[in-house]
Amino acid sequence: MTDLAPGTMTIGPVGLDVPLRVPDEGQWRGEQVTISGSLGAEQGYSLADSRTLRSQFQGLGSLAQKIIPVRWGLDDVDGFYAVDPPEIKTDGGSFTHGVFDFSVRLTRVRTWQQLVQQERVIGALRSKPTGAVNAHGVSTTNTIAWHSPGVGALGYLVDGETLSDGDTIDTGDGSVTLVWDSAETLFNATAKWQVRPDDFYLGGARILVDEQHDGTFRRVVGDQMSNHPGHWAISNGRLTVQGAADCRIKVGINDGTGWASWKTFQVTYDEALNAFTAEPSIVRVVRNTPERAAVRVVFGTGSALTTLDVALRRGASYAECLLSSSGTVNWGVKLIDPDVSPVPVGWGAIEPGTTHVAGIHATSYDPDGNKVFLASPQVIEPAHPDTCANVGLYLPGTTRQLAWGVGIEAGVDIDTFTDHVWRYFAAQHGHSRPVIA
Amino acid sequence: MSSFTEKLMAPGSWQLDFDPATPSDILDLSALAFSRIVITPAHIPATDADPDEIVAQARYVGLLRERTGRTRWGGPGLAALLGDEDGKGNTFAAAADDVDLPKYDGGNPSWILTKVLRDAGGGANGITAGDITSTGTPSKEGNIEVGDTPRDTLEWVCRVFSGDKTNPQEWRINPDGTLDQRNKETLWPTAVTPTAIAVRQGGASTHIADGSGLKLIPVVSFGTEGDWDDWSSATMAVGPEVELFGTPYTFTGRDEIADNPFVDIAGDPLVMERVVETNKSKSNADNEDIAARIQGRHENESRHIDFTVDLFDLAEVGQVGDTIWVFDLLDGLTNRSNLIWLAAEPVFPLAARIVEATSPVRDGHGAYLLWWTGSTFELTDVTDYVRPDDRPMRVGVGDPKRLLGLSRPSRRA
Repeated sequence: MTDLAPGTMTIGPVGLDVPLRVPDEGQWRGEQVTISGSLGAEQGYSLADSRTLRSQFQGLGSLAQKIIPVRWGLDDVDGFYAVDPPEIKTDGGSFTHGVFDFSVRLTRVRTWQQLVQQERVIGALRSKPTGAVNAHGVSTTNTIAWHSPGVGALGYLVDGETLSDGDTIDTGDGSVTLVWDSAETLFNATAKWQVRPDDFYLGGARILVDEQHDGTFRRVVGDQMSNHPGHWAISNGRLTVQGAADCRIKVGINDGTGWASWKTFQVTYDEALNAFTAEPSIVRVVRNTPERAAVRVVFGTGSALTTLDVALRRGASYAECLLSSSGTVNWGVKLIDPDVSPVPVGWGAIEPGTTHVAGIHATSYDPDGNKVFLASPQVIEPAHPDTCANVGLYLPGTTRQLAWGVGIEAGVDIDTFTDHVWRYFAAQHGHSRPVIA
Repeated sequence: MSSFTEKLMAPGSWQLDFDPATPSDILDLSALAFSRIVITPAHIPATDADPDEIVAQARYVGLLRERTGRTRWGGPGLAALLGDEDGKGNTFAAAADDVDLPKYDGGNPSWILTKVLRDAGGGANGITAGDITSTGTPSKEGNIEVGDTPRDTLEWVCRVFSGDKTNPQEWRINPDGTLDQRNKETLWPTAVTPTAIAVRQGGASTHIADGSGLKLIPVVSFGTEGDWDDWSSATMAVGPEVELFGTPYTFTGRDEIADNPFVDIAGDPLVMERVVETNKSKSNADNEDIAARIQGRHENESRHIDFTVDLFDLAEVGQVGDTIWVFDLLDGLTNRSNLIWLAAEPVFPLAARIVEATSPVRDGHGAYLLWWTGSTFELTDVTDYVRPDDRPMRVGVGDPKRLLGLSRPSRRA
């Protein structure tokens, strides 16, 4: 459980990074409370933080799920509330001095003890982006259909039963539960659990943006984010994927001991793995829910369209990526050293790689004790079995789309990259909402 | 509320509301019943193109048949020319037994040319043959009864010439007044692979260059209704009674469901058999075909899904008759056997057919009246006087929506 600093509160995800001071006024009427006050600089916030807080507040109006945890840090009022779109007053100088008056109406649905989080999960064997069956003979005998309720799940059952296999992994948010079974129950099941308002967002997927370009990432609330195409991140407390300049992403892992093993991947366009250098011009939210978050980055300008979608599930140690383009080339991806510019031509030799069925992984654990890996349902080179000077892969046939998974095996876990690749091959869609217990 | 409602293989309806300040000479045109109302996707001034060109661009053509005051005009779609909702049209005043013709054979006598389009029999109010496969074989026998309209005959023809329950013969009337009659997968190729997906707004995006051509239908809200009121375990087609070798004999044919999932209160297979009477068949085999076609329509839940959509025009993503994907996990609109990628998100949609759509006439659409002067057709542009409607459009997929009292399947086949 996280402790709230005294005098602060959270309304859903608002207040989780930039603190939200408990406003001056709150008026209760039955289960409804209207709170109003002032966000911003007069309470000691920097202008940047004030504007971030305002924008997160505004995002409450576009949340996918309107019943959210609200915490004052007081047992008698903390709980799950339905939030109405907040009112935010701005005057001519608000965006310059960062003072915004606000009011928001919350209706308590129930105490958290009376609500159950219900997630309906449906899935099947991952196919190629065209819908054709994967090129590696991976079948549902290999896949691991899995689910995670995040941190602090109580009474967690899938279709009313405890699944036969489970694990808890340590992350930057705390201890996250994962479950699965060999019967692939989670290809069509309903998971239910209870959770305290304090733990609701821990281990959940989120989208972050660094508006000041100074390394301070703040949560995006709702489905709109400001456009910083080289300064976004998507994270679940365990794995973080960050956007970077050119057509690159940075991936890092947190096994409970801090963020480590940062790897930079460069998108490539030919069989020699030469870099595809196009600047990202747009980043937008595709989905922003704790069970799954996804962003889309658009590269380049003019009459071509190249997009990169990155999606991350709660509890996953891998991200699902899709590169889609109007250009038909040998799309690929390789590890690079971000400090070397321009990107050297050819394969490079950042970390030696060994292929496995459907992908390639670092041959040895890195200095942080972790191992990065890639996988794809499409026909890829190098094919298994093979060894390689660098971790990278490309599509030998020219095509418009490259679907790939990128993840990191934490040396301290029991699960290996093989287990994560089988999880990647279980394409699952989940939709979560609170219901009455 | 200016809108038009298109229905699969049925007349549908339309309605236009005019501004009260519309000049009288335009409102006077409301007396010209059975003129055509033409709606185009963009407004082309009538002075810039000739009437045939404008009609060729039409999105919808209907018949003017009613008015409220003079500022609300309405009527059915062109299918009413083959047989309206009351059974009027170029009806057969005399019965004809033992008619034996191919379905359609170009200029030679055939069911469609002679008995539907009634070539050399008074015509079908101007409806002409469009895309119909022309072949001399097979030919089938049937009867025509007094009072049958060409549309009744067309429906019988489709039923009797359908070999395959899953890909039956169907028909469509185009805005230019031509009749297309082919099997379902030819008239609507999306029956094989849908090219559009309806998901809740904010649920996804398909603007990526993936070459799949999958179009997104952003849904404002979904409403579902379903029932098994018409479910049957088997269908028996009975009739007609004829004389065979001096003895009365009644043709019969039966089709039973392959796998009955329901049980009665004793735990045995539920028996809900439907009997239909037909006067048109000529053999027990014909009756079996009729029974099979009717049974095929009643083997699943009759499910109607209505949704409101934020689109300028349905034509952006398809037409009535097309099969689309529909996905809304929490409402149960899902089918695990279909894995479709919406960019990087796996979704598992249900395939459902658009059976009706109510499209508002938008600001931007063109509206014209094509009326007969006595010697020629004249096109009058009424776009500026029509009150446009910016509301979301409604699309219905699945089985046709139940209308009180009018929806029970007929006992007459």
